[in-house]
Amino acid sequence: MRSSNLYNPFNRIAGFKSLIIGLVGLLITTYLAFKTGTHFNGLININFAKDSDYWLFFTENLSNWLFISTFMYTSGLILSKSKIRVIDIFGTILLSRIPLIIAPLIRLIPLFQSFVIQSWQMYFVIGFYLVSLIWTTILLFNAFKISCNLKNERLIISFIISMILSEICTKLVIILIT
Amino acid sequence: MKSITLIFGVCILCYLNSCSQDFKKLDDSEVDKNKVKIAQDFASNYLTKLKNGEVYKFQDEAIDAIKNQLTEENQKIVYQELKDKFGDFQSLEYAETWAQSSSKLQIIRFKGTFDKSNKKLEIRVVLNESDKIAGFWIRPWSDMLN
Repeated sequence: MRSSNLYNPFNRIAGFKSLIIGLVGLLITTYLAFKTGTHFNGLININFAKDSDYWLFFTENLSNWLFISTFMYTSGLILSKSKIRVIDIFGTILLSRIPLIIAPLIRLIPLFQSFVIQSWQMYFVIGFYLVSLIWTTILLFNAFKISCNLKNERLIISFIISMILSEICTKLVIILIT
Repeated sequence: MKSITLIFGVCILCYLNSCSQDFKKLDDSEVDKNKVKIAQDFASNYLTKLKNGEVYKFQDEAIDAIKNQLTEENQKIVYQELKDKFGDFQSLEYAETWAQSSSKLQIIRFKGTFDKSNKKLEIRVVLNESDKIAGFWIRPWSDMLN
């Protein structure tokens, strides 16, 4: 397996295939998040609390994906001269979120299920979460770049704006449902 | 270079771990069921009284600092704030017990259900070595003890 596939698999996987793989990833990540109490409450936030029902974890993950995809699709429609397929954006964005499974996977280990704040367990989980977050961000960037065929300033600025708007909307949804 | 980085990393982890060594989560077999019952009865009675518009009358189940802090007026103010934000108290269920070795305090954590919130709240009761209430908090639940 070429290492470039780890951060940019979208030349080979896109469209319906990426959507199906991403949906499987979303369902598994959500189930593990629910079992371990790992909240992805925002695009970059993580919280550890076994405090709610499955539907809340599902809504958190679903809204993250839908908002970022919608904002990136809208950016693409406005800024790109190429023809953009909805399924490419939504599929590749969903696929990009698969690395987020790392934190709930670690929290399946009993040692990481309940721990003291500022303990080594906390830093260990957050450390791995940061790695998965950076990985996800690189994947999101490449997914956006390839699916919308954007370059240079247009690509970078619209990516940042889409991320910020998605973060705000996701937070609002989470506040409303809790 | 790699081994120095590894040693440095292990030292940091050991230091961080030492900061939290004072607390230990008890296995179910180690948990004193009587202490859990004392804590559960207190928290449940306290919150039920306030939900019904009454106040909790302390006897000798708590230390003086708690009695002085949770005056009748304070009880009503704090419950009203809780009610505005999370709704009325519904129920609580036992979650876990932590022991602090240096002070022999036991931290007993319950998950509380409030009718306006989709999330459980933490109801924390701290018992001292004489099984008196030495702490009482209600806050959003976290799997991290702080």
